[in-house]
Amino acid sequence: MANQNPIYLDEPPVETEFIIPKKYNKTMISLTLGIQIKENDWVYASAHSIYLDFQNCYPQKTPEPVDLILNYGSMLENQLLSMISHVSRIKPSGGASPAQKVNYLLSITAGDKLIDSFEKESGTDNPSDFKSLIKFKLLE
Amino acid sequence: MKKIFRLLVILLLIFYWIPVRAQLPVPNFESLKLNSSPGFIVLEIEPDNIQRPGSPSKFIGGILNSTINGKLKPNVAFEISPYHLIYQKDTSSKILETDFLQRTGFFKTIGKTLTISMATSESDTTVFGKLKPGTGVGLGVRFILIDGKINKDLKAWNLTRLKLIFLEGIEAQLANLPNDTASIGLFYLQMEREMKQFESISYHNLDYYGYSLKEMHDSLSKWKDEIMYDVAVMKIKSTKNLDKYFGAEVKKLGFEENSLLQKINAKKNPLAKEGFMLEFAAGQASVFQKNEWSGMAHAKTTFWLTPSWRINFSKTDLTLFDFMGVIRYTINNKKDSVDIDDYFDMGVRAQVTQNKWSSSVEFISRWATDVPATTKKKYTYRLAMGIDYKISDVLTFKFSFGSNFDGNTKTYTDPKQMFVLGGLNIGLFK
Repeated sequence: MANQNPIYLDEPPVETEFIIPKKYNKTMISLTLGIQIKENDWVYASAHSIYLDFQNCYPQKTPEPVDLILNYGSMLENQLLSMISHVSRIKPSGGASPAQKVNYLLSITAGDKLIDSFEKESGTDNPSDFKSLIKFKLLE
Repeated sequence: MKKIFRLLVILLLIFYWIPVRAQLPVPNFESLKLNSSPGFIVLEIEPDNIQRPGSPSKFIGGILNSTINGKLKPNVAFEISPYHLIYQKDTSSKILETDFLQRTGFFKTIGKTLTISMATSESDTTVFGKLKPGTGVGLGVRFILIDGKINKDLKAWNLTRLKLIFLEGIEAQLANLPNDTASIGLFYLQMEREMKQFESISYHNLDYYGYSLKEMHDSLSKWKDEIMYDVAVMKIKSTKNLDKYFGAEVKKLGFEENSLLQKINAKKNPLAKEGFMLEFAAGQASVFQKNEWSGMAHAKTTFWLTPSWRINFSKTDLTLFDFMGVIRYTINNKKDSVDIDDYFDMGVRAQVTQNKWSSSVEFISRWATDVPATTKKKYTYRLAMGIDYKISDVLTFKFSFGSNFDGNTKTYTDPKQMFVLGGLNIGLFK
């Protein structure tokens, strides 16, 4: 069964199960976040709060984490990954309203194999918060 | 050579308008000002002699009319930024902190702001002394030695954003916290730990945020104390209450950040830096006498420093006041009698920028180290006033008038002549 998109925009996230295939129980699972701004003349500033079972696993908060190591597949069973990505936009040439939309990307990999990836487009609200609450499950 | 020059002007005009129409949004107001490119300055056809340093564009071209040998002539210049040409990042993922707000080290600042310019004009027979008339070519470089500071609105936004990010992280943890005393106790400990981490990150990245260590410490410690007081002293004992408390704080800061971002984005030049900046520039002029390749002669080499200060008067709009200066030394080709000795210039400029308009006045005094026996004065001066109007994001109109330096030491005692210049600056690429 395909994993459901766990990303919520500007609202409290609903806990969403994320299935890690059992074959990855001894593989390191990692997380990558990405942001793409839709128009060239805008720039963004982002910060990411990431907690795995209440432990802050990304204290520096910025830039977007690439291959952030979470744990081995077997160790993630039933653990809760809580994330908020805060994205603010500025137009350097100025004189603009409303804000340009951004695309938010979340991907989870086992070693170098992609397990699943999701994306969500923001509205024109500025800033935007992308929130996720993921419960890991290990299944065949 | 004249034909080549005319062809170049026509080609540039055609070449500019096509991409300009195809991709309208480009650089900000300041980066469109090519008038003071070292290439123009060393040829002495510039409408502005002093200009506040700004963020360079990858490429910018300009065509400017000026009076040379008593006739109105078109002059062409372009300026490129090697850094921005080499590191052509995917602009869809440009990050504000590292690409715009971060103050870089001395050498990195030079590398990022270095521009190379080239300008051509018909050679002025007075400026270039005894060199035969032909085409003047100016080559120049400039770079920033001391960068300015980020403006007050960006500073305020950065602090609000920092607080919000921290509280959102706390809120995210609370949402999943079991509602028991032990968990709340652990949460308090975790919050203290996180606050320390947060402070350390904030202090580490002061350059991004535009704060001094003391400013950041004062701003955060008071706020932190208030939060800890609210949470601990007010004895909020259940996760539900904590959740409600942090939810309200997050909402309040969210509104604050939203209104600051609206204010910042409504400005014409939201990332304009303020405070003291220092730019170094150098230029070299050659004349192709009689427009022949073989007639090339080196005419002069010039070095100068431009210190500048900026104050933003308006809280809601763009009303910038710039006060600038220049210290310049020109080494003339004495062998070919461009002039009998070198020049030393010192000058000041005041400029007010309000949205699409910018007006300025500048005064520069020039001393010659030696003058001919027939010349009574050892100095000349330049007094000029100018107006810039930003027609679109890629097009700026420039008009200036006043009196320029007397061309060489033989003419320092002649009556001052007036000049009137007008032209367009056209941006090509981001």
